[in-house]
Amino acid sequence: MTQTVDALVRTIFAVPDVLAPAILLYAIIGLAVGIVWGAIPALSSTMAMALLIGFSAALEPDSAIVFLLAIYSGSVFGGSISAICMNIPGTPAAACTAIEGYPLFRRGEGGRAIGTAIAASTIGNLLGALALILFTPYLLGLALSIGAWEVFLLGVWGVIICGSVTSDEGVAKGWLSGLLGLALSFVGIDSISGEARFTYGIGFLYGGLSFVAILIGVFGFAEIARGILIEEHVERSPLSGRMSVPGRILLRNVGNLMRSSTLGAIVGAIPAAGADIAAYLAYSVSRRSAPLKERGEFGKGSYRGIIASESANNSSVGGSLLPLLVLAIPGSTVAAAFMGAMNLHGVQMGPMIMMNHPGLIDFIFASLVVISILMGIVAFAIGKVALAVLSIPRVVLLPSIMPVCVLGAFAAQNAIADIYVMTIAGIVGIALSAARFPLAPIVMGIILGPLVDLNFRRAMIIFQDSTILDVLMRPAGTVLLAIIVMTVISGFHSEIRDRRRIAVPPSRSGRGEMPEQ
Amino acid sequence: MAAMVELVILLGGIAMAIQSVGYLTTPVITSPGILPLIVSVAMAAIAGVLLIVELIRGGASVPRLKACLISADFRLHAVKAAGWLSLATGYAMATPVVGFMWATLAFLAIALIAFARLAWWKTAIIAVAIATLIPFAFRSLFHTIVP
Repeated sequence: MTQTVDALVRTIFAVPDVLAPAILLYAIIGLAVGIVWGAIPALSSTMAMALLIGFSAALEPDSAIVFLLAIYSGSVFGGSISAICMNIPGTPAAACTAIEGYPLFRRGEGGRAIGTAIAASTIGNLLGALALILFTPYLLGLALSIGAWEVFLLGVWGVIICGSVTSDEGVAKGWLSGLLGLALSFVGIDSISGEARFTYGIGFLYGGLSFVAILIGVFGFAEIARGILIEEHVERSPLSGRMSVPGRILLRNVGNLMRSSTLGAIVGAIPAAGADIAAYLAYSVSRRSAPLKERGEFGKGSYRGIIASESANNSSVGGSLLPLLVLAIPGSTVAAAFMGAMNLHGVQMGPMIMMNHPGLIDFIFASLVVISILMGIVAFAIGKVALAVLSIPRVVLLPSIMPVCVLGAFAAQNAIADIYVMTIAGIVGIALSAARFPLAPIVMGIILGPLVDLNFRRAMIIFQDSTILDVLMRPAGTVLLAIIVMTVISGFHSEIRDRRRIAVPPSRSGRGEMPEQ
Repeated sequence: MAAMVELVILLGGIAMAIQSVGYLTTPVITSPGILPLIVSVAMAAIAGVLLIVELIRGGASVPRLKACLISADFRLHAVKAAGWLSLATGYAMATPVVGFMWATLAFLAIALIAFARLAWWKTAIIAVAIATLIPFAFRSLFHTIVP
């Protein structure tokens, strides 16, 4: 209890630092960019973060933190605008919002639906931030008691679970993507022995492959190519009605809002589960727990559904930062990109963050609180701008983003070689995507790779003279090992089940069909 | 496509495993080659299994694949994809040589005319605006050095 009160007080004292005009300006710009970015269907939150990390490298760490967190929060909300007005979720996390928002838009209640989404996202983001403030001190205390072996296992679990969760076509492809990311992270000088690995005498490889360039290649270059090549059939109508917050609906949904935000924060804290799973889960729970009369409205335009989906996806922002701050294991790909950005500023996330960077954690808490409140204001102010941007055809918009990819890859280290790395990563990303490999585990692998490598070797040095029994006597490590084994076994089980389902013809069995959405 | 990617990963995994052996020192368990060796062997093993499954499953779909490859729709899509990839790659490669502004101007001019089929004057306005505004905005906001 004392720790929580302490954290809250320290956060309140850090708020004036975030409210400094120069930092506030970056928060507003980040939110505006994030909201507009998230609203555009072909552009994801990860892509926004990937492209702008390089630029944030030149900023002061405080400004960079606020700017990137604002982009993260803004882009998660932004997806709801196109979901409601075009029936196309700007980000996967807004898919459920589209189911409920678009019928409302067609009924002439588009303004009210967007207003509801803004209010739910703002409150969800704020509650996610509060969950982060409340639980970080406790988990940091626990995290300090774990050693290199446990950190290694956590990193491995992060990559495995990311592969399992993000793969559409069997977990093996997800794991392979994760391993590919880990393999790429080994390039460069080894931090323990100083030996150069996989550098082939090429100068720029000694410093390792730039994760920013790979991130931009995979989520920028490749995504733009995909967006350009997919035909666009979009129905656009003007926004009907003024954007307003329906207070009575919000009051009726206080319980729904709290429950969905809590679910969002919990799901967000699971590595790679992210905002989309949080939104799906909260939406389905809200649907099942709705009174019979309201349950009939689901699918035909339900404010309850919008509130559940939007509050959950935004509260996952705070949740995804929890394992990142405490254990250096990101809860989502965007959080992984944020971790990478912090590495550029020399900030190492993890149990030692309080000691190595005193005050930084409180600044992050305060930033998220201020950004949450600011998001409501900025969203109302630029909602119409986002809608105007949506009217620009994709084939015009996407090529215009390509220069930002090139500049973003270069800006992180001012290295020309990173432009080439970005291009190659983009081409590889297109090939992997065409072969239905998920791209998120590559990012997780490349960002967690150095942590996994370093801690594995440290653990092996510690265990040099130990027996397997000594290793298994460490309770936290054994529990983690069991979790990894269970994740792998359940992955294999679902892989075999999926392949059997594909093999059985649906007409004869009646099974093997995709469930109705 | 999936089989080709899996084959490349399998070969890459084997090559990486062979090279990782070169980084092994005594004691092996703490040497810089140990984790790359474990990861590359796992990579090659999973890619190998996926490739075998793909080949067993894919055998039956060869006629369907052939029909797809000769369809006009596929050829149009392939030409468009190859065109975009060449243009984007060319742009990234040209930037360090001719400079960001000129490369961006040329890239946007070609991309907007060829892919968006915009009128030349609209293309010119957008290309000039983006090629000048992006460096200006990023230079003033983020102190970015423009190549």
